[in-house]
Amino acid sequence: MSSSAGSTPVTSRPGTPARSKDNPSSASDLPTHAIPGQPLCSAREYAPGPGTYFDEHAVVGGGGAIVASVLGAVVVSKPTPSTAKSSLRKDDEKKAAAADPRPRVSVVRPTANGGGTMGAVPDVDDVVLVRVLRINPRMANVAILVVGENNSATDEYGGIIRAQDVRETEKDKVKMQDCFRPGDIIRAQVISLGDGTNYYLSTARNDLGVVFAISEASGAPMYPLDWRSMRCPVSGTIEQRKCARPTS
Amino acid sequence: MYLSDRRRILVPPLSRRLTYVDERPLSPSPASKKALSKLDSAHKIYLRTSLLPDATGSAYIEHQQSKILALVNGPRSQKGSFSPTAKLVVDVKFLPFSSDAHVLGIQQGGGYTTSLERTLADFIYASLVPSIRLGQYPKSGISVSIVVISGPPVWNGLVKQIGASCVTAASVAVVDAGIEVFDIVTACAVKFRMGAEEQTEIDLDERGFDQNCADYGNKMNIGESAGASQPQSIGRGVVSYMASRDEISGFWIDDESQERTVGEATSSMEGASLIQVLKIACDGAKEVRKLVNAVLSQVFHNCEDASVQAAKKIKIAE
Repeated sequence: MSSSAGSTPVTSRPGTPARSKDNPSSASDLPTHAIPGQPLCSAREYAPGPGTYFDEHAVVGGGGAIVASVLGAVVVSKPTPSTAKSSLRKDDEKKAAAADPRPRVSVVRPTANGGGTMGAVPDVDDVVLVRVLRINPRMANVAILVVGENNSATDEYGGIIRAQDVRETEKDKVKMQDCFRPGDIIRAQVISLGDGTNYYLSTARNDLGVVFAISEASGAPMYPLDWRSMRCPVSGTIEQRKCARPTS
Repeated sequence: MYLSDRRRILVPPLSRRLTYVDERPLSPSPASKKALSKLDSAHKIYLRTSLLPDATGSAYIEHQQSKILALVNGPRSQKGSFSPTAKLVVDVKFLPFSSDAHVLGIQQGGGYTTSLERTLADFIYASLVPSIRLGQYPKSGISVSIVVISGPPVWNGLVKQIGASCVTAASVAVVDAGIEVFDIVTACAVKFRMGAEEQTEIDLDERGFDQNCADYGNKMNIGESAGASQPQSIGRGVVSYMASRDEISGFWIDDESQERTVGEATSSMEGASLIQVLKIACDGAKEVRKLVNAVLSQVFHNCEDASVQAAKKIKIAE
C-alpha cells in the first residue's frame, strides 16, 4: 500500500464546503466528482444511472434530485445508449432507456483505489460466466465466477441450470449429459434470484452455452463445430455440448 | 418474455414509483453560535481510508483518546434462507488494555463478546442500517468489524465518545468498500447537565465525569465539607446523523451521574431540552461530516492522480 492510496491527515476545517463547486469540463452545472449523499442535479433534467439514486426529498431545482451513492467521478451518458452490449441487457430496460429522454447520470468509482476490489453481486438478467460443478438428469449445479465484466466475490455464488432452461426448443428432450459436463465454462443469463442457496440460470439463447470445455479423450480444449457438438483438436473425437455462438 | 422469475411476484417491468414533490422551500436551521465556536477546537480528527488491502474497505480514525479501526467485508454470498436484501453484521472488539474496561471485567482477552461490545455493536448497526442501500445486494452479507485500539475510560461513562468515533469510521469504511449508500453517517458525542440542558456541549472530557465532581469526591475523602461545586447530574449521549438527508439514524443517551443519594428527586428531561441536545449533537455531526467530505475528496483526487500516472507509465513503456 502506497501513501498515495488515500491518506489525509485533516484537522478542523470548518470552512470546507460540503459540496464541490468546481466544474471545469462539463457544460452543465454538474460537479466533476461526487461524495455519497451529495445531490447532483434535478431529476427533471437527468435520469439516475449506476452509483446514484433518486431522492424525492432532496432539493436541487425542484422535482426531487439525483443523489450520489458511491465515491467517484460523475459521468453523463446520452439518453439513447448505443452500447454494443445492449443486446445482452434485458429488452425492458432498453425500452425504458429509450422511452426516457433524459440523459443518464452515473457515478463511477476510480479504478486505482487502495482498498480491495468489491465483488459484483449477480442480478436478474445479468450475463454471467459459470463453471459446472456437477450434473444430474434434471439440472446442472454451477458456480458463478464472473458477473458482467467484474469478478464475482471471493466466495462463489451458486447457481442451477434446470433441464428446461438449457435451450429454447424441444425442452422435454434435453439430456443434461449431452449438454454440459463438470468443469465446463458456460456463459449463462440469470433468470431468477432463486432460493437461499442458488441462482437460477438459463442458456436458452444462441449466444449462451458452453464457451470452454476440455476433451475427455486428450485433455485439450475443444472448439465448437455447431451449436451442439465440439471437436477435440488432438484426438479428433466429437463430444456433445450445448455451445454458445462464438463471438469475435 | 418467456424467461420470467416464477418463484416470486415481481412488479410490472416498466413501472415507476409514484412520487410527490414538496414545493415548499426548506428553512435551514441556523446553527447556534455558541456551539460553533467550540466546534472548531472540538474536531481535531485524523481520518484515513484504505489501510488494509485485504479488506474490501477500511477506515482508521483518531479523535481525543479514541483510536478506532473499521473494516468492511462484502458483499459476500450468504447461505441459508432467501433474503431480497443484504444482511448487515456489525461486531466490535476491544483490544486488551485499550481502555479501562478490563478493570470492570467487561472486557476479556478471550474470544467471546462482552456486553459492552454487544451494546456498541447494536448501536452501530442501528446507525448504519438506514444509510446503506441493502436492496442493491440481494442474498448477500456485509460484515463490519470494528477494533477499538484505544479509548477513553469507559468506567467513567465515556463510552459514547467511542460510539461516535466507531459510527463515523464504520460509515467511511463502507463508502471505501464501494458499497452503495444513501448518505454517510457521522456521529457526535455530547454531554449536558440534567435539568439544565441549555448547557449542552460536545463531549470532550478526557477523564470522565466532571472535573468538579472528581474534586468534590476527593474533598469528601479527606473530610472537608462540600464546596461550592455540587455534584450535578450529568447526562451523556451520542447522535448518529446523515447530514445530506437531515436524518438522525441513531440516538443513545444515558444518565451518567457519578452518585445518587437514595430518595433524591431525579431531574427528568423535558422534550424541549431533548431537542436542544439533539440540535447540538447534529451540529457537531455536521462538522465531522465536513471533515469526512474533505478527506474523501482528497482520496478521490489521489486515486485519479495515481491512475493518470499509471497510464503515463504504460505509454512510456510502449
